[in-house]
Amino acid sequence: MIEIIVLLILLILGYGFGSYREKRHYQSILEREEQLRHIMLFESRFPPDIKTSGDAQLVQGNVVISADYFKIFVAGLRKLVGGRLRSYESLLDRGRREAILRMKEQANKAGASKIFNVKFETSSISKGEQNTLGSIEVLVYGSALS
Amino acid sequence: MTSYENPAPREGINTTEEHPLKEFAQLLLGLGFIFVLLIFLVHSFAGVIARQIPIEFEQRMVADLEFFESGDQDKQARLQALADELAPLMDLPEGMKVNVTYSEDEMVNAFATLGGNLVFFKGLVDRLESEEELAAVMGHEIAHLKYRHPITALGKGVMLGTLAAFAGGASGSAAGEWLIGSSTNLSMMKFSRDQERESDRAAAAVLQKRYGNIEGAQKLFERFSELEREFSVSEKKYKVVEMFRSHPYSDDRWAELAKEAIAEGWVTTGELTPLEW
Repeated sequence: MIEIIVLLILLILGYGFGSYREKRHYQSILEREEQLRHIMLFESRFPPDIKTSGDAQLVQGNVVISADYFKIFVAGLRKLVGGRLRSYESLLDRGRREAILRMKEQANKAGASKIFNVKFETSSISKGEQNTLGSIEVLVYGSALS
Repeated sequence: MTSYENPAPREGINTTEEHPLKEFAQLLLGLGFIFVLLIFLVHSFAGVIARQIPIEFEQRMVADLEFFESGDQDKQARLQALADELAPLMDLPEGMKVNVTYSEDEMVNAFATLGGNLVFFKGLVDRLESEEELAAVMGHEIAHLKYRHPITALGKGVMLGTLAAFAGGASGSAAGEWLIGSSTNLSMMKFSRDQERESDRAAAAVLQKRYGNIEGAQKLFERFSELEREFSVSEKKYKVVEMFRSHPYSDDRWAELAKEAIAEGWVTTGELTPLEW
């Protein structure tokens, strides 16, 4: 009985805080994406065929983000039957977009207007550990040009 | 010179706009239903499957196990003699041999387990005053063997354990284990109330056959009722009352037997033979 109560509290806390923060985060992401829209990203290895100053600079954005208990619980149930792990999809989406924004902010400070050779790396930093909340790291980097 | 634009992509492609609680509810209800169904199937068919397991196999499983250190050899021999007297009257499955161990433990209990093994504890034996009461307990425990309850309980435990391991392991989280955990613990190596009632009936039947009445059972349940009252408040004696947690209330058990007695034509009163050790 006590276990069920603890579980319920964890689920409610996880859901409450998790969904509140996710909502806030998406709001902030959408706002900042609009602010930094003038900085363009190119995944090509070489500078795009547009006028540039020629001085390239490495910029990077890095994010570590953790799933909440609710997301993990739902994902645990989902894994029994398969299908889209929706609760993790939004987590990774937020991680990637936040990382891009941080990279763009760096480029913005450096006065750059475009970033080329953009690359992503994603890793789990709680890999293989039992009874821990899953956390991911998203790193994005590229060469900024003004 | 190429010109580039940076339009905002549509939202809701990489993520879903569906409410997270909807998925949660669907999964919980769907999986909950499946697990309840599986647990129900295990409970319903464990007995049928268990009865297919050869008794010889069951005996081999526990051949090297000593359940409890045996105590007073004289008492053990007399308990074994009573078992040997009652067993032939109870229509046991072929190959089932009853083997009684007497333990000096103070626990007020007796139990039947794998391979036709019965264990009687000093705590219980000392509290019984007549041979018929002892025979009622003996008949009840032999009935567990007759209906193969121990191997059924083991089978259930293994199947539910596998299910729990699947649920917990596949999901790698508390979710699956929680779905199934509570029901598993309750089923492990414990006989169900229905099995206890079934055994009570068989015990009463053998008392009637052997002594011409079921007074022993009536006396036994009266004694248990007293013990239940005596121990129900004292947590310290938890170990002692272990038996009462796994069985229906003694008063109810007797009430049911009394009903059965009318239908079956059993005699409910008779002479008791004092136990002299």
